[in-house]
Amino acid sequence: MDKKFYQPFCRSTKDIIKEMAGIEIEGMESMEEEEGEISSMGVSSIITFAGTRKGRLLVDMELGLALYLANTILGEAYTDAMDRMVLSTVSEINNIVSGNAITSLNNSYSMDLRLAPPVVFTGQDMVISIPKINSLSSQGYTEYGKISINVAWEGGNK
Amino acid sequence: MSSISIEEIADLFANNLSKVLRTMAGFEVSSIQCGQQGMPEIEPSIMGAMILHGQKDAMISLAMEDNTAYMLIAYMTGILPEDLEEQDLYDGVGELVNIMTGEVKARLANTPYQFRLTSPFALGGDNLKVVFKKNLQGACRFLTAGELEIIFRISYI
Repeated sequence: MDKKFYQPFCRSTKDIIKEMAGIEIEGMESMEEEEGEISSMGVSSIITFAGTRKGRLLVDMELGLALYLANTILGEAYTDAMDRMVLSTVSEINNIVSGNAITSLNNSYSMDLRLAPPVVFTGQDMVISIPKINSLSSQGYTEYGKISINVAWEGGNK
Repeated sequence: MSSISIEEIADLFANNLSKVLRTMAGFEVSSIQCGQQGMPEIEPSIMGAMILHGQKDAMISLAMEDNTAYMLIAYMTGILPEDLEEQDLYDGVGELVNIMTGEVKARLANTPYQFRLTSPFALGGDNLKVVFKKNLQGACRFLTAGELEIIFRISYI
């Protein structure tokens, strides 16, 4: 699948996080093929979308960044990144990032994509494995921690 | 078609998983609702999951400890547990979710409960936690066959 179906997720991640929390993400300019399993940096959220094609976005970030985003967006002072509200914030960011990206894809390519609600996962030394599906990843850096996104479309990257 | 509760849908999945495990691996599986007396505490370290798109979107998952996953995937593939690699476990558990879901999808086709599959995925690690919005409808089944212990969950998301 053409990279034009992946890039909107990079742009959307950078734009939404800047808009919501006022922080710049460095990097996330290109996407690389992901092979095998993905080691989580702390908190992961997955959202699936279906229309003329099916795909999903995985957003993964370090705990420090998750905490900063929740505290900034919600105006609170959470200290535990495992707090339900912190995890819900990550989930909501994924929802908004994906919504923005698929709106762009729907407008440009009439893909009729619809989002399912996101789900958040946490765990110690968590590994995420998505068999039988090729995906592209992109890494970004902020002063509060790293963030990465992984986008997959069924049918592959070609 | 009369309405089906989420508990009945959970039973459809659990019964189908039992059938799959009997056919593929020869296990005689029994299933109870989670939280019932006699259900042991288990700390899942591997989880296979899938998001289902339907009138109501849902997530289903199969969670188990490593030793259950090794045993299960060894029986399913015919590979000795000591020869299985971590990636085999993730692939196997994801595939089990796929197989279990495929037949339920066929049974619910052309009903208000029909759904579309997405790609299964697997999670590994300690203290795995899945967070949904509050007050979502869900159902859980605990399946056992000897030392094999699996937790099946479905949640509308």
